[in-house]
Amino acid sequence: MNMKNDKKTMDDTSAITIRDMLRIGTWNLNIETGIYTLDRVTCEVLGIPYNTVVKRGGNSPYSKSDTTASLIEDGIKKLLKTGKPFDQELEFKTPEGAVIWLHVIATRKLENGKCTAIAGIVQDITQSKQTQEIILQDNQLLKFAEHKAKLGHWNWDASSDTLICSENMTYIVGVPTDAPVPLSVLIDKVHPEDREFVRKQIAHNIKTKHYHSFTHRMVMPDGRIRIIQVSGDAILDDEGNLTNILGISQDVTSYKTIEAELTKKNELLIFAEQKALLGHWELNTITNEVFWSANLYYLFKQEENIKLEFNTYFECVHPEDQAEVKDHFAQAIEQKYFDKIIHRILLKDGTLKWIRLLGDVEVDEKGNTVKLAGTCQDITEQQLQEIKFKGLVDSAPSATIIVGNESIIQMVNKQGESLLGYSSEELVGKSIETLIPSRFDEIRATHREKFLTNMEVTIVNLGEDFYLKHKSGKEIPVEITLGPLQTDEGLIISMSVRDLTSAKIAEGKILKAKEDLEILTEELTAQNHQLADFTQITSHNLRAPVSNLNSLVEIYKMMGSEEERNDLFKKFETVISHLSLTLNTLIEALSAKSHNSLERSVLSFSNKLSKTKEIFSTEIERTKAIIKSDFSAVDSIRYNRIYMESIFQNLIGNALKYKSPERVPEIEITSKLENGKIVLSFKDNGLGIDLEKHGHKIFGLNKVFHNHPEAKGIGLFMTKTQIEAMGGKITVTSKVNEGSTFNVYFI
Amino acid sequence: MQNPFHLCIVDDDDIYRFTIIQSAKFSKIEHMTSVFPNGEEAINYIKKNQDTPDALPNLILLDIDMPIMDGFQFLKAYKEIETKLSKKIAIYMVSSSVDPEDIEKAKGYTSVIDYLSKPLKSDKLKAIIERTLEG
Repeated sequence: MNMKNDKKTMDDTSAITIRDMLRIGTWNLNIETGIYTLDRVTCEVLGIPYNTVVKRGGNSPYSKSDTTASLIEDGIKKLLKTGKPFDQELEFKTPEGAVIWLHVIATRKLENGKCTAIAGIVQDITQSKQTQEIILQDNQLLKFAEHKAKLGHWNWDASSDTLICSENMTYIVGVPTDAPVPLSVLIDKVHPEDREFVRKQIAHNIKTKHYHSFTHRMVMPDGRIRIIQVSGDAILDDEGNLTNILGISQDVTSYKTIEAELTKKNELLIFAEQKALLGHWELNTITNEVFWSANLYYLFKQEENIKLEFNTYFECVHPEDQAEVKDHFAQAIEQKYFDKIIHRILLKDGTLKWIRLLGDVEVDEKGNTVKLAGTCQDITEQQLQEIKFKGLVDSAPSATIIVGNESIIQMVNKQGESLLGYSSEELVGKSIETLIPSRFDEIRATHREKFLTNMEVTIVNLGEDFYLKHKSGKEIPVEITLGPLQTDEGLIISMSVRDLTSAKIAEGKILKAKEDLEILTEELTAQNHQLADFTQITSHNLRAPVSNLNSLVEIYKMMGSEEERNDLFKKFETVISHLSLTLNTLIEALSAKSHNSLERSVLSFSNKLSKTKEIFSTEIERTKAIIKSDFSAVDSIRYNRIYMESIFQNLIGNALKYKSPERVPEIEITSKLENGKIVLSFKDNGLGIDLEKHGHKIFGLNKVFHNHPEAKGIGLFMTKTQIEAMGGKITVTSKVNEGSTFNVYFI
Repeated sequence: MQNPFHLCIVDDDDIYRFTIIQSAKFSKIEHMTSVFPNGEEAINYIKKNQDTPDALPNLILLDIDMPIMDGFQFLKAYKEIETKLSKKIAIYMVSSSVDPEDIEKAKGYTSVIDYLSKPLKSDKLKAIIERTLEG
């Protein structure tokens, strides 16, 4: 195309140039006067009146650019000086303001070696100059355009099978600029995988003498892959032989990329539409007209363009769901609110699908329903997933509750139903709070916050036993594991509930067993103490008299006189009576220890005290003892009568027996409650006992700590034995010469 | 022998004391006997006579279980004055206790030569006296 333009332009330019060539003016410049002499043509060209006097360096009716002025000045100086002819194309402006280009040629005239004048011709080249400018501009534009579009053009010569390529193309392809390039060299520049294709295309084009466009890939010198579109014109000679192909190679990579992206996006759109399995519908409730979007026809496997009515849809509804769907629509029309509904459809070909309908109700100005409109989505897959999920939840080994937004129960499995006594229908849609005793509200708040922050599977640990409420109101001990699941519909929490009832029972059993063991241990420890007591008793209280008997027998054998033997018999008697007493005491103690279930009755401390006072009346009178008592805190106790009397008699008896010879005996008996247990105190002002020395054996059998004639060391041993047999204990505090206090702790 | 052998019995059991005194007589060894019914009286006597070797016993038969001050309490008190004594005294513990704890405890005192179980037979007593005499 450009070549054709060039040719035309050239033709036009030549015609004009030839015509103008006739208008050559002459001029000369007198160096001495500086006056220009211009002929008629020159004046015409410059657009000035003939005979206009133009002076060198002075004002002229025409104007010239600064470039022109300096070119003239420099050129003339040079000419004058060196004789080099002046030859310039100069720009002038006529008095009328037209821009003209003049080709000015000048030579100097020498007279006697001195330059006197300059003579020259002037030619109007405005037209040709303008053409030239246009060509130049066109060329530049072409280059620019080529560059911009990565476009190159080429001319294939059939006889040599070579191409001459435009500059830009040589640059793109990387071949020499000015020489013909063999086709094979260019083909080598094509992407290796496309070379065979390009060869075939070119061969085909040459054969058919008609150029079909094609694209191929090309690896650029920088390694990038570009897509090149090649198009051209086959040029035939008069005989119809192919001589040349003029062609254009264009980098269409960016177009291709955009095209590819568009295609991809379109595909995605189609894919998304298909994937969503979504359509929309309208039902005019007055005219019963129905509209379905194209996708709905597809979903319902209906031929497009069939006449639609409500029944078209309704007939597809699964028979078991028809009543519900019918009610739903009736309700929507009446209540002017279309709730979401999920139901099955059964298509003619037997396909079963799950459909979710969402809708809006349109009302007229009177508030009557006129139109229902909404979407219809095939959710078979989700529904099957949900059924599968529900199946999984149902088959979970522990009771599971699925809780959704705002603590609303979404699902309860069979185990959950049987644990909590509710049916699934009763619980779904209700708040989980229904199941949780309100006393946990406060403690749960912090736990819930922590769970929602961490969002991890957590075993609920409120620091105390947790319970859920059974439908009957009974509380069930449980352990709950929470599992969070973020879904499109918000946070879903799975609650796995473990019934701890049996664990609690087992725990109770273990605790009971532990308590039993503790009691047993206590008993064994007590028995151990008693055993230690008996060891003590056997060694000191039984072995001693027995060894005495042995020694006496030995001595008896050695003794000669009857008199000595008679004396010895008295010793035997003493030992035997001592031994009998010890044995009797032991038997009494043993019987106390072996009678854990002693008979108990309600006894009064004050009553026992007066009875004891009666027994010791002689002694009290003799010693003038003062006996005070305070049983205001507690006066009655369930206890064994004989033992209680023994406690009073022994402790008061001791207090009287071990009175200080320097003081009138004072005995104070009080009762009090300590930690709910009755404590009875016997305080005296008697001799006192050095507990550092004797504390460890004060309640031992046959222990005496006083050089007192009546000390036998039996009373306290028996008292302690009896108190312990009843499950209590006795302690003593004492100071020598100040008195003693015995505290009896009852159970 | 200027001073006869001095046997000391510390025991609250008068029958036992009687049997020892009798057994000592049967040994035919010349001796004298002192008797204390508890540790306190015995230690007081020794303290009082610590500088009088003639008054101090050669042999003490010490019971464990006694009122006021028992055998171990006596040994504790004795340990404190032992170095001040002008005479070495042989102490034997004689008890009806067969409690190993008591026996161990008794042997823990360096002043105790041996622990003997009641009854103490005459020949055994004789052997102890003879052994003490030999030093």
